[in-house]
Amino acid sequence: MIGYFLAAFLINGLFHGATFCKYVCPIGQFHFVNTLISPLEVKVRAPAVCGSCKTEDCIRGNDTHRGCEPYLFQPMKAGNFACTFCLDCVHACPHDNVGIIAGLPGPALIEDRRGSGIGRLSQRNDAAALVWVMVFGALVSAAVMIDPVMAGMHSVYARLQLHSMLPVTTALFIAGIVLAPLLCAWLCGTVSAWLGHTDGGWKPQARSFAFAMVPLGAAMWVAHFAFHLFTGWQSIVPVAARILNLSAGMTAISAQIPSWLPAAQILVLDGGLILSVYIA
Amino acid sequence: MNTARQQIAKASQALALLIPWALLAMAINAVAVWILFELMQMRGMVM
Repeated sequence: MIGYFLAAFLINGLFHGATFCKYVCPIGQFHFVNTLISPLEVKVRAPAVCGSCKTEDCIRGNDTHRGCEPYLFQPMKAGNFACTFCLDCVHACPHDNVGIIAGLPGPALIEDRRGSGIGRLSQRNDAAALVWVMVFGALVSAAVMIDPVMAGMHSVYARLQLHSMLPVTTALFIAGIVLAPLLCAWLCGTVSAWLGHTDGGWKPQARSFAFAMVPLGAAMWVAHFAFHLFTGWQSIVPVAARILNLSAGMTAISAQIPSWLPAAQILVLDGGLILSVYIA
Repeated sequence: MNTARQQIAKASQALALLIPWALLAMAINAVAVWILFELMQMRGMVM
């Protein structure tokens, strides 16, 4: 935790443009991808007001408020990618023309607009790679907690006579969030380009269609986290007991899975699948 | 993004372009459903 904040201070102190938040922070990367289907977006209320604005405080800042650190110019911003929702632009705008605006989720995934500070997402290899990591990361982060996968990991650990589970877990994550998406992107991209008779090989297809998978990945994250939230909320009791140094509350608690939860998880997953196929 | 219909106007060719990605999405969905229906271990809790 201390290292995380030291890295944030060091990198943001040495480089302009909220470099740590934009390129390094794993929490930021997670939100950049998943807020692409958020129904909320920091954007301008009336574009005509920006047309007559001479000061551009939303990006330049002013005497009392900072401008956008990741250099997202509000009138040309496209979607939530690279936006940290810090709301500096909202406070800096002298016309009160920037806010968190509700709308349909996912227009940034369908339109291929050139956005301020990020360019066209469909032309960015790094953004597409990040999406693939997040989508497959949703599966792997949940898979390492289930019995069959844990049994397999312990079997490898015992067979190789290792002293720690770290190498096994590391290998599984590398296979799951790097090799598996790379293989899938290459295979599907190659077949897609061949079936569609397009030029350029598998990479442009893998770049474009990566973003269609965002709803599916986000759905899996929601379904997974919902499981922990609704079955593990009672863990606040032993945590509070530990903080208050009360030995009575230190016993393991029994987790109950609400009867409605599996159906809700499937509903969320299928919603993600439908939205992904629609966007593709 | 350059979705299938944005890349190719002809519907049948756009569908051909889309098929591998739709199959991949369904495969990811199937794996996700399988994971969610397996017993998940949570540290310090009795399931």
